[in-house]
Amino acid sequence: MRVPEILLAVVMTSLASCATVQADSPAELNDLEIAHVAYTADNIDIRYAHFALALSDNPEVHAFARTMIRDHNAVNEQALALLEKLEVQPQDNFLSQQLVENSVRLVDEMSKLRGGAFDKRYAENELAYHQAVNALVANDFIPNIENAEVKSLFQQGLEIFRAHEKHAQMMVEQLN
Amino acid sequence: MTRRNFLKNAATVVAALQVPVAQHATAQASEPVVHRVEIQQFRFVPDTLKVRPGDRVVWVNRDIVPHTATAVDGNWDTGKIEANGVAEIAVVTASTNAYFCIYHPSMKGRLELVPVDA
Repeated sequence: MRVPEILLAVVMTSLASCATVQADSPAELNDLEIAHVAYTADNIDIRYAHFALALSDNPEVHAFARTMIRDHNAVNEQALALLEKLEVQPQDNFLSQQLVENSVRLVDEMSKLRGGAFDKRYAENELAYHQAVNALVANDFIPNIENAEVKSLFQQGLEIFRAHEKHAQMMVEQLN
Repeated sequence: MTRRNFLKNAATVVAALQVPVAQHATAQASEPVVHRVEIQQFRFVPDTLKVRPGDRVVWVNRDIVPHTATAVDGNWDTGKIEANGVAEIAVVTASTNAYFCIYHPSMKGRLELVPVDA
């Protein structure tokens, strides 16, 4: 199963640099940068979902995609409301930029696929994407978030995205 | 969920559940009960309820995303339960009902029907 390459590279870099702190490690991001990554990751998955609704005819893929749109929008609404309450702005950072760059490449790849090939690639990516993002959130973000309300929102988000991971696994199994 | 949508959903579910039930010569042994299921962290809590015909089941969504409670056999459906929303059904069928969330199919629950005279 392919893990989004950029996320794998980021995790590997993070593990390799345990002895010294590097500025481009996910574990070194501050709360506002982490919030920006989460908002970006949500929007990327929403984008993938709209893509799936446009290119797939599979009802299971459509049901999954609609859930992604519904849930990621709900999380983003909560995140934006919290940032407004805290009177802060999310901060762009290397990881958000890498997520966006990778998503552009993936959309280009999937746009060339149709039918079952598209469905399988979409499902495969959704599973790998959620696995990678969930690992980042659980291992690098939540332990390092300083603001209690931001941490609580991420913990709720992790529950949501773990359910998405299970749903993606079911979708992959149905399509294979 | 608005009050109108809540009442509309409840009425729809009650109307859909008007299936024949076994006739009993004796009255119900106990008054109808309102059972409460909390939806928390993508789980139905409790995930199994023992209910009698005439009881009501209320789902309260404590998550920040919408859910549903939908019978696997298609016999009843709360429809979308918004974050912090509430939905309910009236228990009238005489069959055990496994249910799940349509949006998140790994979420599962069960209504186990207890006979009226039990």
